[in-house]
Formats: sequence, C-alpha cells, structure tokens
Amino acid sequence: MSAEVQNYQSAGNPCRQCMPLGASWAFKGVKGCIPVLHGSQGCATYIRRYMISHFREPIDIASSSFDETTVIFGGQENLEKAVLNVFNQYRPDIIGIATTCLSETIGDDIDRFVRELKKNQPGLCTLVPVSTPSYQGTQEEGFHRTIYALVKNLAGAGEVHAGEGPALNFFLPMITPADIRWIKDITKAMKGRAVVLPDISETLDGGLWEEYNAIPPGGTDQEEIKSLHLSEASVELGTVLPDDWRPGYWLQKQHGLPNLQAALPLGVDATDHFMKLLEDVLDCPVPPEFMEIRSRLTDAYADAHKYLYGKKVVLFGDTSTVEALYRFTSEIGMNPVFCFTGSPSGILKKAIEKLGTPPVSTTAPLVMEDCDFGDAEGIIEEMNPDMLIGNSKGYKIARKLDIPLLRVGFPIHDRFGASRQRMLGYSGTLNLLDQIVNMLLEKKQSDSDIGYTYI
Amino acid sequence: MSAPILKDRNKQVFEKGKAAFDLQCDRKSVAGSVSQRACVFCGSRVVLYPIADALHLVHGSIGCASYTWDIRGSVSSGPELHRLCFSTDLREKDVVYGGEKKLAAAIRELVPKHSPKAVFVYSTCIVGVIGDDVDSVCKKAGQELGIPVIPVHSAGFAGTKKDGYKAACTALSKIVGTDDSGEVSPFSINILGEFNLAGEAWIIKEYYRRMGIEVVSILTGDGRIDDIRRSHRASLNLVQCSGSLTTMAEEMKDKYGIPYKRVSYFGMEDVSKALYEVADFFSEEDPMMKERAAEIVREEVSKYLPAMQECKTKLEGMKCAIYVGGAFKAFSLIRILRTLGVDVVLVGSQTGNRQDYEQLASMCDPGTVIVDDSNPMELSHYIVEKDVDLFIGGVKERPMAFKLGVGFCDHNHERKTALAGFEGTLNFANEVCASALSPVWRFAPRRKK
Ligand code: SF4
Ligand code: SF4
Repeated sequence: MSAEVQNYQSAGNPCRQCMPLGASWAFKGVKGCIPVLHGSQGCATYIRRYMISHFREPIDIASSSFDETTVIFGGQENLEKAVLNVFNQYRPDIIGIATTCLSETIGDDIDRFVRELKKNQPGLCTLVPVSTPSYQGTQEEGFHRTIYALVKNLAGAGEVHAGEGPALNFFLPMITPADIRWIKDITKAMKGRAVVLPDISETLDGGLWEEYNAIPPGGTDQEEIKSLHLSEASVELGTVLPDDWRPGYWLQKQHGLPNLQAALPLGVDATDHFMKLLEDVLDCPVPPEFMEIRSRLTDAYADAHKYLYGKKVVLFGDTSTVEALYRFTSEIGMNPVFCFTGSPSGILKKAIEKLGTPPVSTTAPLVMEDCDFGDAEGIIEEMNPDMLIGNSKGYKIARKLDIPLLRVGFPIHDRFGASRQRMLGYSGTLNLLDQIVNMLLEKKQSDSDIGYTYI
Repeated sequence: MSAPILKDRNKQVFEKGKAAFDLQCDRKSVAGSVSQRACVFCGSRVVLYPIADALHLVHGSIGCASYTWDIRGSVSSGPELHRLCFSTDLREKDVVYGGEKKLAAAIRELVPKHSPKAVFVYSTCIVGVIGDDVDSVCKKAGQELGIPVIPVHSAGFAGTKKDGYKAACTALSKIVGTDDSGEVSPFSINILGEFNLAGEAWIIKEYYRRMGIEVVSILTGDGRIDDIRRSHRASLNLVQCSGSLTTMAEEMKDKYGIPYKRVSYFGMEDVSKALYEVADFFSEEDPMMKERAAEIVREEVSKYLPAMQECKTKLEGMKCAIYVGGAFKAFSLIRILRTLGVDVVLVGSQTGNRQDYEQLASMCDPGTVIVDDSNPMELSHYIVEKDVDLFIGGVKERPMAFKLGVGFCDHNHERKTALAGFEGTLNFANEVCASALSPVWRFAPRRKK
C-alpha cells in the first residue's frame, strides 16, 4: 500500500490548500488590514471564494494582477500600483503582501520591493511582506509564516500596552472565531488580557452592518502587535512548530519574553494543563463557573463511555486540529486508527508519535502526511472505521463508504455555522463530545431494522 | 458620498442618462482592485469541467486544483470523473528542474486507473514560466495511451477569463469532428454553452425531444467525449452563454457549415423564443414542428404562469442589482425581473464586451448603473445609494448583500437549483421571493426605517 502511495506522481482530491490562503487568513485577523496577493488575479479570487464559502463573511483580498509583460519584466510596478490602489480605496492601517507561486517563480524579491515602496511613498500605511510560494507548503505554513512576519516586522516598536490587566500573547493555529472568543473570555475571567494573533473572532464572524465597512471591524490592533514584547508572556498553542515559525520563540530570543507552549485545550487533560498554565502565569485561580463545566464534562464522559469505547475513528485536516483530536478521542476511549494531513511538514508524525498508542489499542495508529483523499480512501475502506472527523472535503469518502463524518476544521463548505463551531476548553470539549456521541447513535439507529426510539 | 471608483476604472462604470454611452471593457483587471474575476484557467475549467468521462488534470501547484475541486453544479447522468480533482502538485524541485517528467508520469498513472475517454491537461501560471513543453508531453502520452490527451493553455496571467474560454474551445475543436460513424437525424442540434447546472440541460433537451429534434451533443453539460466527436454532424448549433463558446460555434460554421443561433433559456420569454427559432429553422422540412413548439410553450406557460403572477404581486416595485459573469445572462435576467415587476438599478458583468454593454444600456431605465469587472467597494456603494432590495450574483457577492440586509439569489455556476427552462423561471422567482421577502431583514440595521 504505502509503496504504491509514495510512487504517486499526482495528487487526487487534495486535503490541503495553498500558502497564500493561510497568509490571507492571518492578515484578516489584524485590525484594518487588507491582504494583497502578489501574482495573477485567479489566486486571489479563488482564495476569496473558498474562504467566503466557509466563513460566510465578506472577505476582500486584492491581487497585483500579473499579465504577460509582468511575467517577463517582474512585478515591482504591479505591486506598487496594487498597494497604492488598495490604499486609496480602502484606507487600511496595514497592507499584508503575500507572494504566490508565480511571483516567486519569476524571482520577485518582495522584501526589496516593499523597502523601496516605503521609501518612494512615505505617506503609506504599514506594509508587511511575506514569502508564500505554495510549492513549498500548505495553508498552514503560509499561516505561520505570516504570523511570524507580522511579529518580526512590528513587535518591539511599541512603548506601552494599552488596556488593562497583565497581557498574554496568544499565538494560535487556524481555529474558529468562537474558540478565539473563548480564549479571550477565560483570560479575562482570570484578570488577564489576551492579545490574540491573529484575532478573526470579529472580522470573520461579525454582525450585520448599518453601512458598508470596507474592512470589517475587529482584529488585533497593530499597536498591540508592536507592544507584544511588553506582555507578561507568550503562549503558543497547538503542535510544536519549527523554531523559525514560532513568534513566541522569536520574542523570547529578541526580547527575553517567557514563551509557554501548550497543546490546544481540547479534552480534560489538555484543558486542565492549559488552565494550570493560566493560573500560574496570571497568578489567579480558575473561576468556579469554569470548574463547574469541567465536572459536567467528566460526568458526560461517564455517561457516554460505552458508546465510545473502542470505536474506530479516522482524523484528518491541519496538523494542530488532528493532533488535538487524536489526544481527545484517545482520552474518551475511542480508537483513532488513522490520522492524515495534507501538510508535508513532518510535524504531525512527530506529534502523534510523542502521544503514543491510544489506551484502548495495542497498535500505533497509521499517520500519513502529504496525504490526499485519493490516497486515504482505500486505507479507510480497509480499516472500516465507525466515524470520520475532519473537514467537509471528506464527504465524498464518507458518502461512498457510508461512514458518518463529523465536520471539524477548515474548510466546511456543506454545513452551517463553521465559525461558531466550538471545541476548546471544557465547554468546547463538551460540545464536541455531544456531537460525536449523537452521530454514533444516529448511525446505530438508522442502520437498525428495528427503529429504536429509545437508545 | 461619491462612488469609490479607482481612477483607472472611471471608464468602466456608467450611469445611464448622465452622458452618452461610453464604457470601457475587455480590459485586464486593475492591480489592487478586488476584482470578482478569476483567471484564464478558471475560464477553461468552466467550459470543459462538465465533460464527465474525461480526466481533468491540473498541471501546476496544488492550490489552483484544490480551489476548483467539485465546486460547480454541473451534474452527470453517468460517469462522474469530472468531480474528482487531479493535480501534478508541483513542488520546489519541479519548479527548478521542470515538471514535464512528473506530468508524463501522472498521465500514465491516472489513465489506466480511471479509464477516461480523454484527458485535458490544464497548464496554470507557473508552468509557462518554468518552460515545460506541455504539448509534446501530451502528444506523446496520447499516442502511447490511445486516447486524446489535450493540452489546455490556461496560464492565469495570459489574459482574462475570456481567453480561458478560447483556450477551451481550441481544446474542444481537437475532439469535434473525429467520428463520422452512425446515423444522425436531419433534425438535429448541438447546444453550446449549456453546462447542465442542477440538471438544466436535461430540462431543455426534453423540450427539443418533444419537438422531434435530436440533440447530438451538449457542449459541455453532462458531456461525453463520444458525443462531442460526432457533434459536427448536427444541422444547427445553439449558443447559450454568449461569451464562452461563440468561438467554437464560429469555427464549426466555417469548418462544417453548421449555422448557429444565440439563445437563452432563462425566462419564459427567452425559452419560448429558443424553441420557436429552432422550429423556424426546420420549418421547411417539418412544417408541423412549429405547432409542437407552440404546444409545449402553451402547456408549460400555463403550468407556471399563475405562480409567477403570485410572485409578482409580492415583488412589485422592488429594486434589484445584477452582477454576473457573462453579460448575455444579464439580458435575460432583466427581462425576467421586469415580468416580476422588479426594477433593475445596477447591472454588470465580469466579461461583457462593448456590444453587450450597448445592449444593456439600451434595455435599462435611465439612472441604472452599468459596471464592467466591478469590485466590492463599487458594488456595495451602489447597493446603498440605489437602496437595493435584492442582489443577483455569485457566492462572492452574497455576504456583502446580507451584511446590508439585502436579499440575494445565486445565479452562478455553483447553483444547485435549476433556473433554466419554464420550470426554472418559476424556481428563480421562488428563490427571489424566498430571499427578498424574508422577515429577517427587519433585524438588519440598515433596513430599519
Ligand atoms: S496560479 Fe494562475 S492559473 Fe492558478 S489560480 Fe492563480 S491565476 Fe489562476
Ligand atoms: S498558483 Fe500557487 S498561490 Fe496561486 S492558487 Fe495556485 S497554488 Fe495557490
């Protein structure tokens, strides 16, 4: 099986998107920011459409619109024009410039372009360039590179922190607006203040408008990014990234800021760990209302355990989500037999290896990186799992093999409320647990000839 | 507030009645304008995608393929190869050393696995730059595998979506005319530019069947390579969706002497016309065909008209904005909306040409704004200025409409409801009602009066 898989020259039904999508996502979490993709028009439009279909919010992404002559003479002039047009039309605080495969292939030096642009057009807003050629990685890499670029370009310039309470920098993977709101709430409840980068909690999940906002309200203020080094500490959540992707690591090296790393708080163990971390760094006990939810959650674990025990589950999506799901499904007695991601980074393999075999199993799970649905389908068919958990692109397999699919992560193009999906903290875990159990019950019910009304 | 129009785009926005008609179009998108257009590749994909027994291989980096995987509503009555996504997924080393070997290997690997009737190889932006000789790889693979392996030159930067249509037509013309076997009725047509979104082609085909006409091929809805091979033997070509397949129709006229007519299947008026025109064409050989067409129109109209009228009483006086891919569709939409009593106050397209816009201008009331290759800043400005109740467009415009408390109807390739034909017209009216008349808009801050 795997030998054949490795010989594949083509990708069939990919389980990943491209770097500038991740870059756009990150830039959308900065206040007053418009992304410009340096390349042809199509990339920007496709990425917009793809993200809009998930978030159901207006998402404007500009392009420097290459044509044949740009490809021959380079894209400096186009970029300058694009930046000026975006600046004049949107009046942004910040323009994020991400490259694409095309501009990288013709060898455009984006850093130099931006330096010269700043010199020639002194009245412009902040410009942050990032190199994101998709042939080097997926949306995840693009996302992390962009956060890193934002921090490296801006942090250190500020002199004070606005706002109250000890500030914590949160560097998060691509999680939902609702989960970001939870992180902000819990930090606030513990008398701290979360500076979340990127903060898409409002920009990509906002309300109706009185008048049209060229740039949706919300996002991390760039003044706050400039003052990140003045916070109490950084907290990096998710899988452990290579050092040169880690903004917390950079702040530590440059500014001596403590950098804490923790798993995404999904499940009791991971959330306990996260709460402890907050308690220590904020020097404040977890408020009792949060602990009440914890006890409700463990009670639900008890109520649910029999439905879950040994149930085989396949997990897929971005590395941080899959890692978190692996930890959680193991914790509740399911058997995550197969984990895959489109990312070729090597991170997922390492992470799952570290977590070890699930308690209900004696064999380690199969973990595949750089894996497409085309590769995964045969394996899933053979394993015959009880459930799939991942993004909506897994639906083709789910339908073909008649296995329930719980939609988590990105993209979710065939369900409603993707932005409000919760899985972090005790409350988010409880939400996900309910969904998993119900999905298994529903399958059992609909598969049975008897038509139980009472399970 | 004046409209936020970029200096370079001043001439791509026109308000009827303010000055003599003057609108620029057919231009590359302005850098930094958040154009709603995609790219050349998108144009080719749109046209060829519905061919269900061909393998569609995207040669380039992964994103271009990922974003176009199964996003369109083109359905098939048989094979569904078109709904799978294949890419050569070029990586760093391929960019340095070239992707030809990988492409050749991919074709060789995929064809035996999926047994397609043909392969379309789309070259995207970077392929042109890294210098792959896609033509010769395809040629060689085709000879080896015994099926057509056809390159589609669709580098995103090399023009606009319209150039992608042309590239698709060039690819199709390599298949058209390659099979002379079998019988074809003298009363036969091809339908070009019909993509069978939500099964629309089947609705239309059924009308023609009832008229006694054989539909040899549909380019490309529910498309099959073998049908396309024989398509040169039809007596008449019908071209819907003006932009995309007119070049193909022209070519078939020159090469095979097949005349063509432009038709539209949106709105009862236009569908009726599309049936009558064909009956007219065959009237010498079959004088009764006209009567059969009239019968269909009578029957269908009487079936759906009462419900349409009911919609009209609810929608009368509402104001609508239209922004669609091709201008030809906008003509039909204006006509349908008129019959529903709705005023069109803004109309635009991604790819219209000068003739199209002249016709739009002549159809519209004074004060109507006409835009070419517009962007969210302009569109949202006019939604507010013209106090629009309803927006007809694609997914990218939807959240903008909703934020402002404006109803929305998706008339793009992603739609899952059939909007063509007589029943489609009523579906459209119902969709419009379902959004424009929803009670939720009273919670939208902008609509609280
Ligand atoms: S790389 Fe080129 S072909 Fe691909 S989506 Fe972008 S513009 Fe289109
Ligand atoms: S060319 Fe690269 S950046 Fe553009 S859509 Fe394709 S993969 Fe993404």
